[in-house]
Amino acid sequence: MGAIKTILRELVGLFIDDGSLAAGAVMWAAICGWGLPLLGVSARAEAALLVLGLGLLLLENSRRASGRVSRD
Amino acid sequence: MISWAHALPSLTAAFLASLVEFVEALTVVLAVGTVRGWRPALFGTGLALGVLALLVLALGPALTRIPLDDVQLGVGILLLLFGLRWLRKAILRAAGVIALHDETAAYEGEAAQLRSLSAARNARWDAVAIGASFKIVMLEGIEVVFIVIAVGAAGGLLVPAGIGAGAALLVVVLLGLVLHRPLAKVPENALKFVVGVLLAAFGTFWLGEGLGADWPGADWSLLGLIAWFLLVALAAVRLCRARRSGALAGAD
Repeated sequence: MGAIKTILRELVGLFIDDGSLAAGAVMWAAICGWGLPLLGVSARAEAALLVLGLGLLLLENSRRASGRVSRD
Repeated sequence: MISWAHALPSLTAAFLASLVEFVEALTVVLAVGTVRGWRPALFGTGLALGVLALLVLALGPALTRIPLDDVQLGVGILLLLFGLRWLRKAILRAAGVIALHDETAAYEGEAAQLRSLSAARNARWDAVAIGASFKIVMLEGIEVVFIVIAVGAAGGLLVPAGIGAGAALLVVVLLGLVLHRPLAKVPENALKFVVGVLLAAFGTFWLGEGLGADWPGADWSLLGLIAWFLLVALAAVRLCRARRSGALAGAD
């Protein structure tokens, strides 16, 4: 049981280090993929917004993490 | 027929990412071999490689039965999360927020732990040594299998991605045989930084394909995505450094 838990923990850890970054990326992908087309946004603009949002998400998450770790 | 221009990004990403994983595995296998003996170290390594081969043989054909759009969406989101995780950590390391990974320290730590474990050791069956080498090769190997599938499957480029990973394994094994010590001089964080950029770009591309986004220039937009994530990552390093300096100055 312990070994299975360890493997599962490691598997999840492959993709998620900071929960807010992972959740943000998934939510933004869902908004771009399913939300924006409902508003009539073109597929080309959807691609641009997906890229822009993911970049900004990474920038903001790293900035926040550097403040958090520095205060520790 | 796969063109080089098409296959090179997948091959490079798989090679660099696998190189980092194999270097980390080599460190622990070397520690096990040196402290507990080479026979159990190599047995555990071989056992893990066998299980990984079975995993690939089982998963590979199954993937071909899933519709391409679903593969692109699933692989894209996982690859994006995987790449962002690597890139975020590499950014924080480059900015000095978290410590750099040190292979020599990792080797010494593992060796000290293995020495302290005096569990029943006989010449034929050293479960601690076999378990340690099996675990590290399995964990790092799963990451390599995922990387090869992720950068190769969605674009029909499994062969170049596999060649990249195989070349990385060959390089690390040869260096390990020649040097017999951890590959501490490999610029691991710089590699992780580059790999994080590549994987985030690949992940975004496949995710977009799966979601029905329209990439300008089709496959060539991958180069633009790589440039974008590199730019964002470099900006993030500057931002984190400045924030950290500010925090440290404020604490004085």
